[in-house]
Amino acid sequence: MLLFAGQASALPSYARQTGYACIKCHVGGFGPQLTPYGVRFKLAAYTETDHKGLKIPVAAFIYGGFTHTEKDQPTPPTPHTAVNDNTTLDQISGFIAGRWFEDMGSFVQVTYNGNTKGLSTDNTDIRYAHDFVIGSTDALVGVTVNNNPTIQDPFNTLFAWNFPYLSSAVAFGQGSTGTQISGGLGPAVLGESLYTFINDSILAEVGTYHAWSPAMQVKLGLGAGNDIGRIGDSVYWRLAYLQDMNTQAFSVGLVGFNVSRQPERIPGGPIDRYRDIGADAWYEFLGNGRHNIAAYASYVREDQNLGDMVANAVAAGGPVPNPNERLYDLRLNASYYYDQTYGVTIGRFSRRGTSDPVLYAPTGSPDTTGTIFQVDYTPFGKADSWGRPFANVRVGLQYTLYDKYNGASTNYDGTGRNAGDNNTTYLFVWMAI
Amino acid sequence: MNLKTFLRVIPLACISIAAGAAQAGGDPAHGAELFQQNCAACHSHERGQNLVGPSLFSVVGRAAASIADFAYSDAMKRSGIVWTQDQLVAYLKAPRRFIPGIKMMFPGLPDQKDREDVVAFLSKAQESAPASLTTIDVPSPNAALGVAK
Repeated sequence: MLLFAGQASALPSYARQTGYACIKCHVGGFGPQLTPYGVRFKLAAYTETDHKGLKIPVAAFIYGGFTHTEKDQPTPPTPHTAVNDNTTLDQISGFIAGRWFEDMGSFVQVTYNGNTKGLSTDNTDIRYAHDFVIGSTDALVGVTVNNNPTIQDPFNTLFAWNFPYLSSAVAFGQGSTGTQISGGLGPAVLGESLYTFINDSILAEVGTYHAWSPAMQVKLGLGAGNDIGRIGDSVYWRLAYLQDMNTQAFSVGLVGFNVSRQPERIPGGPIDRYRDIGADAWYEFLGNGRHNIAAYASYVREDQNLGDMVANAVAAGGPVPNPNERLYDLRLNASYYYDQTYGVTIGRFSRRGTSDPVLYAPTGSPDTTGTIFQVDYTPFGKADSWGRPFANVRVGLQYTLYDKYNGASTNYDGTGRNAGDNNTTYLFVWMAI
Repeated sequence: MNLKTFLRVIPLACISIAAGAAQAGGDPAHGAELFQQNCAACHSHERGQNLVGPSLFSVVGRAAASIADFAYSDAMKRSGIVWTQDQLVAYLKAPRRFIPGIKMMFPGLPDQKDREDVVAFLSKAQESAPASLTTIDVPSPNAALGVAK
């Protein structure tokens, strides 16, 4: 169960800062699918402005919806919900988002989660970036401080900004197992990266992450019992090539993340090591704005060496998991928007891995695969839209179809529940101001 | 307008008129469509209406970085360019390659004919305006060489 599902953002404060309509930076007139222009705006530290009047980098959004699952859930997903047919206020978020100084800006989100009834820090990306010109080479050089690996990435292929851009927080998500780079750490970490964007084409980034202390995690609203442990030896890196041909654009890239974790925070204790490496591809057709097509793909392989997990199992005298595991995470999705208003998206997710009867009991497999269908309507966000830039709404209907869940198509939990029983319909309304 | 200003304005006004006359067969109607699709989010062709980008009113023949109340990049200020029609057509192919370090995040129009059409549109809009409006804000090219602001 993913109570923090849905990492979505579309921020009118950027529109107010630049004078642009939302469609300038976002496919479909709403976030978070970035156009090539939006990619550059983000990498340039959210600082572009029309210099008109006082700019207050503050925004907010709210979303919620109605969730129906194929069969009732075994237990209510939260203390405040029922086993099915839940109407929820999922998030109210406030943002400090926009230009601070000439070369510095931010995307800082604080969220009230209507399902956990808690206030916490959320997506954070604070940047400084400056343009250097060397001969005919234009090199944007920047630093980002952020709290989730891939939150700083400008493409919608990697995990923080991948489809689905929001989803029901009281349904089944994408299974119980995931890679470290796909949300295993954020927002309980703090990371720093140095990056450059050369001639608007080549993006290179290298950085590292550290875990907040347990006390700090509590102060940030992340809960007392959710400590991710000590983080060490972490290296995040990214290489991507972007080709913008004005009416269409593509990018291809590589990403890597090495990290070790010591869950009990015992100095010198056994550790779990993870090595993620992935590739991604991104394509957008913008044309003259009437027909927009976007297609994104990513594939990550994670090698795990579970020293701490094995040591704990041995000490407990119970069954011992394999010391070395591997996970594969494939995501494909494509969207079409007509008139930057009417959208349809289909996405495929596939999380697979090596078998382990101990780690992935009762099925012995971590596999979760499925397909997500979404239709949505975004009436505003264009240059001539009513209430611009304050009126921003998206209404959508999303359906998640599971082929496998936590390792099996049938009886995945040992009580007779099938993957298809988790199929989820989510009707949502998302508003930003 | 005093004599000194008049003498400064005349040469650029001549460039402007010559550039407008030499539209090289560009199609201003198609240029208007392209302008709307590619430029209008950041630039107005109305006089004095700066958006994220400066107003393109009377841009043909104008010195780069010459609108006094617009915050140009250092690269644009240093460029020393006077926006003749040929310069605009060349610039619009890949602006950030033409002048590295500028703020404008536009990849460019790869098609030569499209670029000529856009410039034809700007030239026509300029021609359509009263002569006093097309020349009144045109400063010396020297103003663009880092001393405009």
